[in-house]
Formats: sequence, structure tokens, C-alpha cells
Amino acid sequence: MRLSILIFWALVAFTPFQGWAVTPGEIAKVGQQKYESADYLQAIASWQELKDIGFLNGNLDYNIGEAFWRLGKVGEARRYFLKALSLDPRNPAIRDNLLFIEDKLNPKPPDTGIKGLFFRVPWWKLSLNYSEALKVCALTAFILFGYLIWRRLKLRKAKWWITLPLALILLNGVSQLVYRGQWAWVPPRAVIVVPQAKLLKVPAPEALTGNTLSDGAIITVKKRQGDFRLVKSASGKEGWLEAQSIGEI
Amino acid sequence: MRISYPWKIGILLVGLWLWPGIGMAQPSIDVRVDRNTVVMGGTLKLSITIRGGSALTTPEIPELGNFDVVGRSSGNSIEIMNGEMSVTKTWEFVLSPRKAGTFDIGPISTHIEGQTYSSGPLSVQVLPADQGQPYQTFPQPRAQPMPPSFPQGGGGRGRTLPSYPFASPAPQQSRPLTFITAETDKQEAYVGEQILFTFRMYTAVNVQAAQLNLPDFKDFISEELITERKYEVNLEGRRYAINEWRLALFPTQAGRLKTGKSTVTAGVPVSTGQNRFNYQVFRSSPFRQQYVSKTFTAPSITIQVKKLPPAPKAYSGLVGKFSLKSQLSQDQLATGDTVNYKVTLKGRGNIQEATLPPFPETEFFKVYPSKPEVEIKKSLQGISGEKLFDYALVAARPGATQIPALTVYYFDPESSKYIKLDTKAMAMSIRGGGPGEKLVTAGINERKGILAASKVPTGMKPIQPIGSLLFTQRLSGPESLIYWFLILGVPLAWIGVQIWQRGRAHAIATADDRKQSRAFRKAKAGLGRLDLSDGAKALPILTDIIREYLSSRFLVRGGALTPGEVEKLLYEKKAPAEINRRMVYLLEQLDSWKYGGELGKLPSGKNLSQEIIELLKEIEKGL
Repeated sequence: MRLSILIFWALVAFTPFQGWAVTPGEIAKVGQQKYESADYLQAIASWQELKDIGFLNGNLDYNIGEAFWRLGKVGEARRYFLKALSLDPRNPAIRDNLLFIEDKLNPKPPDTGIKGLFFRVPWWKLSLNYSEALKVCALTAFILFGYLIWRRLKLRKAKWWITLPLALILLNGVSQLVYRGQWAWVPPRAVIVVPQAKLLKVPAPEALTGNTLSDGAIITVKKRQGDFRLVKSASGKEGWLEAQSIGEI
Repeated sequence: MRISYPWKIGILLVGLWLWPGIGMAQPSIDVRVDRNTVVMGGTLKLSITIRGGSALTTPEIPELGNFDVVGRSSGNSIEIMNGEMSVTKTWEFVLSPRKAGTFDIGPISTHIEGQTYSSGPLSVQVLPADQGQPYQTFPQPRAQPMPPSFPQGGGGRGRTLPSYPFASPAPQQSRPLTFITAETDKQEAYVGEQILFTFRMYTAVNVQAAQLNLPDFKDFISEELITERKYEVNLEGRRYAINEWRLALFPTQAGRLKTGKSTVTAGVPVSTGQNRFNYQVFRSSPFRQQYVSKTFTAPSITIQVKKLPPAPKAYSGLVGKFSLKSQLSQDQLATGDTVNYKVTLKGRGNIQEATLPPFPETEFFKVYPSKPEVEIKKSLQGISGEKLFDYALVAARPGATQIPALTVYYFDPESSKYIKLDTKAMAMSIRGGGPGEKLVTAGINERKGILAASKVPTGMKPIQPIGSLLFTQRLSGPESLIYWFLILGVPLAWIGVQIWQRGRAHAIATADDRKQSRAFRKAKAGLGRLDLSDGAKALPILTDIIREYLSSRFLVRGGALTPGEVEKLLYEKKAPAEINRRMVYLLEQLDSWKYGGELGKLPSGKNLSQEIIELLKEIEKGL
């Protein structure tokens, strides 16, 4: 009798039942189909749903940015490409799309000469996202300082051709960690996501400064006060904006 | 029937497994009307409720050709059940039939997670106007409490009021101290035409706890223009403080419509002393004032509302005076690029209800409209503003095409005609190219190729495939903690090792210092204790004392120093040559006495001891 009960529950446990929930793969598939059929808003909703589930990667933000670009929302597109870049800084597709947008917003003649040569070096291939920087710093610190401790205990000098490369790698990792981390003392960056954002002198709708920021402009958020944000643009313009007109990266 | 233990566990497990599935609500759409029979000139409310969608879910409503939309609202609510979030969105439309008959509304559908849900159609019977009473469902204006007292005395700026030919009559002669008036700027209007309704309370005395009740305007859509405006006027030699309210009314049906009565209930002062008719004295009277509650009523105003003449097919209900303009962000683009096409409708009237005809799609581009933005300006002259319709057009194939003209009709009450507004058709040129990258090679020189201009992509890359979306690039909390421990812990350990080693070296050096400084004292004490009367016993000890002094003083390991080694040691330590020679001579003498069997030649103990101490002192001095 007990054996038959066990067999019954084993069948129950291993028999595939039809699930009620939609799997993440299906959601991703729906998103792709919506994008291909040019229903960009629904595609964004599907990819956003994957993010809400917990899938955090640059590719999702990249796809959302593509969809916003198709909708003509330059600011939102740039914002999501920058988010994607912070998660996946070595992805050439993200970099190219950002270059493309920047060229549309601020066209300038290409760099030539030594400056052009400097910018042609793919320094971005050394970029790390926050998690990678943390891992690299941890591993390098462990190896470098472990080696130094061992040499010290042996009362011998450390070899420079071992410590120098490790120190450089550690320095790169620490700088990436500082750059990518969302530290409380670092003002966050944001993007203007409305066609024209009018800067205000004080956090009240009527107090205009006469300056405007256009869609896609990158700003830093210096202060928050209710539904308003004190921002500063790259060109030095400063003022208050409504929170709904900016999107934080 | 008793259930055995394994079965109980099994039932419980299956129940827990099924529970989330039972608890989860299925998406649905619900469409209903508040009445299935309506009379011409009346209205009905269409309610659409979508459950289980996302924030971007919207209903697809077919063309309501037999009804005009005269009001709309929407709302959201969020439910959390068994950890699952469900969004419920509702839309309500107030519909006014265009003609009598039986019509279908719907079916109305929506798309949620790849599935289509629909409801309807609903059948509505519209009766001719003479077969029933109209029914209104407009919200009632709230009763507004007035401030406890009105401004008194001089210093205020009187304003000239616009003249209204159709005002309810104010008191004619010897106006009372307190009275109210209600007036409109016109007595005849068309359905949907803006009418200004102004309510004023005149008071020449201080009133208390005034409570205003504006009419319900059941046959109108009302919009508050100003909540309260205060100023003063002189009427028949008496200064009145005025509190004014102004609303814009839009009649919703034809006929003789009444605004309804306006009332104010307030405490007005009653004189308890003399000089009742001398109000100047009354105000500053030392007599105590009493207040009695009184209700003031302004009668209802009748407005003759005329039906609109037969409208063009594309007419959407605009009444007033409007202008239309359009703007295209660029007229030359590549496939895959997006341009913005903006249409702005501006004017005075019921602009909130303005709609544009559907934007025709062509094979050259796809159209994605965004939510229209309305900017309403309210002033004493009424409601005006502008409504912006923004379309994102995505170029689908190359070729020469044009953005078609859009037509909007509005009814001008002044000319009693329908005015047609058109946007201009705009030419557009779409070239091929699409997403991809090619080098910008302006001015490149083969020899200087490496220094040539950097490349700029000319199009967007394609999206990432499905397989690359389902992972996370962020570390969990415990993982981060481990890495932070390594980043901070290992360098700290290295610093700890450094500190420990330095401390140890310092301790050793200090110990050596102590050892060196004690060497002479120890040797002197040893010599003092030595009994040199027995030369055979004293000699080895004497030799040891000297050799121990030398090894402690000069930190030499091992006490068995030969005279040669001592000579070398003193030489290295730069001791004076005379002292070096004497110390070596002494050691050789001691060794010869000790090992050479010449004990008989040993000098007296005291002399020897003093000589050795003198020698050691000179060594100390010399170093």
C-alpha cells in the first residue's frame, strides 16, 4: 500500500503540468515579435516586464532604447543606451548607437591627427561594469597583496615586474568601480526626455530663466525638491526642472 | 473517512502548488453602457474596464459614427493578490447620439500578453426627441464656502465690469447692503458654444460664514474660469466689495435651458443701537453687532440653445474659433529613421474635445501617435488653448511620398457656419540605407591612414536576440560582500604584517641597545665579585668576563673570541690602536697563564682587576 502511494506521488511530481504563468522566454519572444511588427510600445512593455522580473543586463536596455528611437523619442533612447552602456560597457553595438545619436544631436567634424589617433585606440575595451570592476579589484587585490605579504614574511623584496602590472590592473579596476558606482556624493546623470525643457529659477512652474534644454541633452542632477530637480547641463546652464521631464540614467 | 498521513501531505503539496494559479486573475475587458435606450438630445455613458493588463494597455475602440463624444475620463487602480500585481484601467465616455435608430457600439477589444480580449457589441436604441425626457449625468458643482469676511474700506482698486446685456436684474434703486447677481454673456447659443456665466456677491457690510451654492448646470458642461475675484465698486454713492465667480458653460443639447438658481447663505449684521441708517457710524459704533442668517437668491437664467446645422461627415464637435498648423521635423530621411509630425490646433472654445481624423498610413511609413497634449488657458474671456497632436513616422521603404493633409471642421457661432481647416500636404523623400555602419573617409590619405578621421556610424544596429536577454549582470548581496572583503581585507592584512615586522625589528634593536649598554656594567660587576686569590679558579672566569663583554658590546654571537679575532673586531669598530694592542696583549697573557701553566707569574688580583676595568673604560671612551 505504501509503495503504491509513493509511486502515485512520484507520478504527480514528475508529470508535466501545464503552467499558469508566462515564462520569461515567452515574454522575450513577444517583445521581439512586437518590435518586428513595429508595435514598439508593446515591445517596450515586454522588455520592461523582463527587467521587473529581475533580468538586468545591457541587452534589455539596448533593445528598449532601440524601440524608443523608432518612436522618435531621442531622449529616452539615449537614456536607455547609456543605461545599457553602464551594464555592458564593451558592447560595440551600444557604443555605435550612442555615437550615432550624439552625431545627430551635436554633429561635429571628426577628430584628426594625434587627437583622432588617441580616440581611435579602443580604450573602451578595458571598460568594466560595476560587478566586473568589483571582481577584478577583489581578485587583483588578493593576488597582489598576498604576494607582497608572502615576500615580506620571507624578508625579501617584491619583484617589480610582478607588482607593477598587478597594481595597474588594480588601479583600472578601482577607477571603474568609482566611475560606475552610484555613490551618494556623486551627482547622478540624467537625460532630458521631453522635446523642450524650460529651466526654472525656483522650483515653481512660473519662474522661467529663459533657458531651454532640448531632447536628449545630458545633465547632472544636483538637488531634489518634491517634483522638481536642480540640474546643470554640460554647457553650464543651471536651473530647476520638473522631474517628469528628465530620465535618470 | 480517515485519510492517512502520506495522503494528507500529498493533498497539501498539490494544493500549495495549485494555489498561485487559482489566485491569479485572468485578464479581461468589460464594456457596458448605463442605459440601452436614450432620447435624441440625451446622453449615455460608455464604460470600458480592462483588468490584468499593463500600464500601456489601451482599448481598441471602433469608429463611433453615430455618436459624438462630449465627455471623457479615465482612471487606474492596482491590486496585489498572492504576490501578483494586477492593473485595472477604466475609461468612461459620454456619448451623444447623432440620429435616431438602433446602433451597435463595439465590439471593443484589447491585446494583453499576445492574447486578444474583446467585449460587445452593445446595442443602443436612440429614440426621437419627442419620445422621452433627456437625462444628464454631469457632475454637480460643489458648494463653495466663502471667506468669513470681505475686504472693507478704501484702498482697493475698483474694476470696470464687462457689460452683460442679459444679466438677471440687480436691485434697481436704493440697493440693499448685500445682494447677489448671476448673469451670462449671451442668451442664445448653439449646442457646444461657450457661454460665460458670472456670479457676483455685492456687500457693503461685513458678513460672516457665507456659503455659496452655485447651480448644478444640469444641461451644460461647466468649467471654472476663476474661483474668486475680489474688487470694489461705487454704486449710487456706496462702496461695495464684490466677490465674483466666473464659469464657462457648454450646452449639451438644444432647447430652452435653464442654468438654475444661485444662492448664498450668510450672516448679515443687525444693528442693536441707534443710527441704524447711518452706516458710517454703524461701522464704528460702540454698540455690539449681532448677525442673523440670511439667504440671497439669484434667479435662474434661461438660454435658448439652438441645434447645430447638419454637419460635414468629419465634424468632431468643435465649436468656437480655431486655427490649425502642422510641422514636420525633416523631409529627407533614410529607411528606419523616425520623423516627428506635429499638428497644433489652437483657439477659443471646447478645445479639450478636439480630435483629428485617423492619420492615413501608407506603404512608405508607419504612424505612431502619442497622447495629445492640451494646454488650456482660462481667463475672464473664457477658455482658450491649444492641443498638440504628435505623430512619430517611421520610414518603411525608400521613395518620394508626402504627408497627406488633415482636415478639421469647427462650427463658428458668429457666422453660423462650419469652417474647414486643412494642414498642408508635405513632401517627403526616403532614401535607402537602413541600419549599418560605413566609414566616413573624408580626406583620408593612404600614408596617413592611421591618423585619418574617426568613423561615425550611419544607422542604428539591430536589436539583441532573445537568447541574450535572459540573464543578469548584477551581483547578489552576499557575492558583493565577499568581494568587498577581499578588496579591503587583504590590503589591511598586508598593512598589519608591515606594522608587526617593524615592531619586531624595533624590539630587537632595542634589546641589542640594552645589551650593549649593560655590557660594561656587567663586566665591572663580574670583576668586582671575582676572587683572584685563587688564580687557577679565577683565570677562566676572568677570560670569560672579558670575552663576554666584547661579544655583548659589539653584538658578536659566540663568546669564544681568539686574540686575533678580538684584534680584528676592535679594528673594525675603529677602537684606538693602543687600546687594541693592550687588549690583545692582555688576552694573550691570560691565555698563556691559563693554558701555558704560568700561574706563578699571575699579577695580584686587585691590580689585574683594576687594570682590566681601566682598559674597558678606555674602550668605552674610545667608541
